[in-house]
Amino acid sequence: MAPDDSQPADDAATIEASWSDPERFAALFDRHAALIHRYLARRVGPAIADDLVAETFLAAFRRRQRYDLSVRDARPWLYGIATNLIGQHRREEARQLRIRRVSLPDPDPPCHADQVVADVTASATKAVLARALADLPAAERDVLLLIAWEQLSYDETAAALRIPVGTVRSRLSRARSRLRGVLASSGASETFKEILRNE
Amino acid sequence: MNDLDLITDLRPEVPLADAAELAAARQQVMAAVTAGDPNPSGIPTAGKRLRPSWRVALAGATAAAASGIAVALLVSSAVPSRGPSIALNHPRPGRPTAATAHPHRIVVPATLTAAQFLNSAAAAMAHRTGVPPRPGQYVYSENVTPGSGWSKEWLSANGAEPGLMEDSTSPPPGYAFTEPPCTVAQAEATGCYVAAGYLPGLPVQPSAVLAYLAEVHLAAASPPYPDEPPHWMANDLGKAVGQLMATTYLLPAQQSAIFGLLAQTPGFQIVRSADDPIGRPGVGIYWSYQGAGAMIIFDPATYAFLGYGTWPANSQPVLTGQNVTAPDGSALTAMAIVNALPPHHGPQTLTTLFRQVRQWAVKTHQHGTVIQNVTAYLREVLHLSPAKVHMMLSKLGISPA
Repeated sequence: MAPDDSQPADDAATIEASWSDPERFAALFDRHAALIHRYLARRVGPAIADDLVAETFLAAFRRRQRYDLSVRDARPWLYGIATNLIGQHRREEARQLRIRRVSLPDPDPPCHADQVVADVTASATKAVLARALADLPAAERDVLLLIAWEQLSYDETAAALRIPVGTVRSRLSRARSRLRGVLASSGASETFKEILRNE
Repeated sequence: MNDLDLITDLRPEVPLADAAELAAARQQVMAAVTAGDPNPSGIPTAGKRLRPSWRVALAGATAAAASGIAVALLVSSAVPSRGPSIALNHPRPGRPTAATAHPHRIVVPATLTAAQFLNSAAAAMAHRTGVPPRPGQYVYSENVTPGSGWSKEWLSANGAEPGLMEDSTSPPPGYAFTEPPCTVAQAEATGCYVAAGYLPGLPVQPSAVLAYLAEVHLAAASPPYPDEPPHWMANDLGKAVGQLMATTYLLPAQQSAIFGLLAQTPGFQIVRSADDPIGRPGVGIYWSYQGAGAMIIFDPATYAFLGYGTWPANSQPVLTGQNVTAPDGSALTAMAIVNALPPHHGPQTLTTLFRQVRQWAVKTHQHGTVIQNVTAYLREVLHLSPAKVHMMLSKLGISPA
């Protein structure tokens, strides 16, 4: 689920060690802060991510005694804490999505008008989707983005959000059908098919 | 490719931060970790939960222009407000901002507590009346953050219409984004962030305010986690009040209830001589959370909201003395009720344009129309000058229509 997850480090051992030796917690930060920061930056923008990454690990540190040591990989746990903090920044998240709805064309565009048109068209689709994403219920957006953006599995998403796997599936399914509905009504899915055909 | 891939495609490209970029966060965390207990005395040690979405603003010419726009939009007979003297007490942006510009600082008694100040504010507001905006109108607000930029927001009075936001920091500069509609009912049902300029349901009894703010997701009614540090509620409420007052029209009775609730909430300290970010003198209501500090600032005479300030984690601000100023913050420089949105290029225009381009380009390859549409896009949406449009089209190997 992460770019460097060939062999996940044993976070549980690190966390357990930090129970008696708090400074061992640094290893958990060094292992995962960049990943969590990137997730936060994707959702609420880099400025707030800088603050929230520290807050995520502080909250994790406070809760380390309750960590389930049978789970070696702490990333879902950290994603869950980060997601909870994003919940307090919904407006910023909506703003980020709004900004994404308007994108400038490539400053050095390829020398082909069709490509420009395709870029512009893809921007239109993105605008529709970004809007739809912003309008999703927060609980569904959390599930959708942990899976689609962070590549968490259903089980990991369930662990992160502390909900049953069945709930992950149903929220994902609801979110996707909402998005499909928006795409269909906007005509953007047609656009996308066209783009694919022309690529 | 399916719809999930489309969502993945929307994911912003963010490079993984390196150790240097994460150093400040690491330092915050480790400061708490080495202390053994991140909250040894109930005073948080790190983290900065306070930086809200209220980052905004600017100085000089643009701000002056901004205030011109505000004035032009004022519907003077309907301008409410937060107290009859708000306009008098809100210098326009662009005006000299040194504290010396305000020699007549009201001296706040040395023994006055935050609760006493807030209760006085509640009492004063309880005696005022206000005129709420009508559905169909917009609440315009203008906030300035020195050194950073400005933001102007038009919120649909009842949240049923798209609002508008212009922000000097958003690309492309000066572009206006529509605020998606989100009424209170929608906020409760879907968790969208309520985007109404006026909240008729906001209670006028202090005891009921918190539950309402929780319903519309502006604050939590109970700790998000059982081990949330002390004063989490002061932090939640402080931020919520700052956000509300910066962009939302509140009836005096509603402001009174909010002040009353703040007065009852533990964790606030008074800053008797606080300057807002553009140098207007006020009284600060300060709190700290996880090591970072923040204050919301009010005019000591009218209790009008002036702005807010924040301190980074572990900066240990000195709150006594004269003209206490936070290193970061934002000032409310104008608020008005207006009848309509200003002319703007919003995503709706853009979407229409994109659709035209799509229809012609992808299906028919009728390049003449494509050129027209691309030209229109460059000129009207991106506001490129005719010369730049010409240059761009030339680069594309297209003869301008």
